Amino acid sequence: MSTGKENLSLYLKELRLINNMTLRDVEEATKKAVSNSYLSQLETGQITKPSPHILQELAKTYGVPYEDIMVVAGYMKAANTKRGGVVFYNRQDITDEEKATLLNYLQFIRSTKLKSKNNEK
Amino acid sequence: MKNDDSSLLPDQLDNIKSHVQKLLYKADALGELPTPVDQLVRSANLHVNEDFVLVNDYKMIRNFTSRIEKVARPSIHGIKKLLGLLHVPSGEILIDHLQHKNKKTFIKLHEAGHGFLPHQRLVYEIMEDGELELDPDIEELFEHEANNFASEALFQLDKYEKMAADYTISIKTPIDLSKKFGSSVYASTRRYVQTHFSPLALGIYNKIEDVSLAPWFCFTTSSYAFSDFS
Repeated sequence: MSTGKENLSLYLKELRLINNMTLRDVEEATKKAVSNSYLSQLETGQITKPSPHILQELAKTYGVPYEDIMVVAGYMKAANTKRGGVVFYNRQDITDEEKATLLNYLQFIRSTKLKSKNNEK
Repeated sequence: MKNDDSSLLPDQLDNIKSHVQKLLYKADALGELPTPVDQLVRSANLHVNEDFVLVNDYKMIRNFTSRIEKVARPSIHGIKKLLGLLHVPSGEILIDHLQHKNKKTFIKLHEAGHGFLPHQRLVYEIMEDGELELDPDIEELFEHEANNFASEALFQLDKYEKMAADYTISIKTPIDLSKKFGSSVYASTRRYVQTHFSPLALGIYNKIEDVSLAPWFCFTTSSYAFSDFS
């Protein structure tokens, strides 16, 4: 069975060929953010964990959704818990249950503050 | 020893530095000391909501817990652990206002990193509908990137390193420089040791009151062979 990592190299090569681009074309299009030698290693599976910022450059260049490449790379997957576009900065790790509580708490303080602002008016 | 919270591959660090430089230019703040943090936050199209105390508003937490206790006993430990957060779609930053002024500066810049780095902002926008989530390793990488973003912005890329080179090697140097850069002594000392041209090593014994954190931090210049103090 193939894994996301094995698929990524084939997927990226396929995207480049569909766009009728050479390795050097991609290097130019990304303003050297993705060098031709780096992309070659990526497409041949010699590099298996490219940085997300490289994948974002490639998604932009190939005109595909960034999340598609992130999913194939195994960096994103179907969600177990909803995050609502919120990034938490904690002094220690937090559990999924704590994240859910934090989101509820955030909604609660928003609605409380909104109510008090409306009352002031 | 405390887990590493900032290591990046060279290409990842270069990418962070180039985005910090873009933001410093955009905010017309390149070389300005201390870094005008609020100006940077605004230039990143973000804003700090000063209305929310967030963490230490105990009345609010009590109201919250009493309201949802009827449904399920909530775990409020997560709230107590929170230093700040960024709601990416609205660009709103909330921070724990009871933190020290210099710590708040770092938190704002850390959150600005999440909101300004395009490959991160897009991911968090995608995650808003709740269908996809990040792999934990990538989530950790994004935290490292945000820490580096904050440090590079606070210390104005290589400006700190250049200034430090003109001072005598001493623990007093990062303390003096922290005042110029508006950083905490901790952040300044860490930066000093990690970027100095001479091989330096620093061990920091963490405050004992927070028993859940391991006590040792160790930072070295790249030329210093890493030693495991654990």
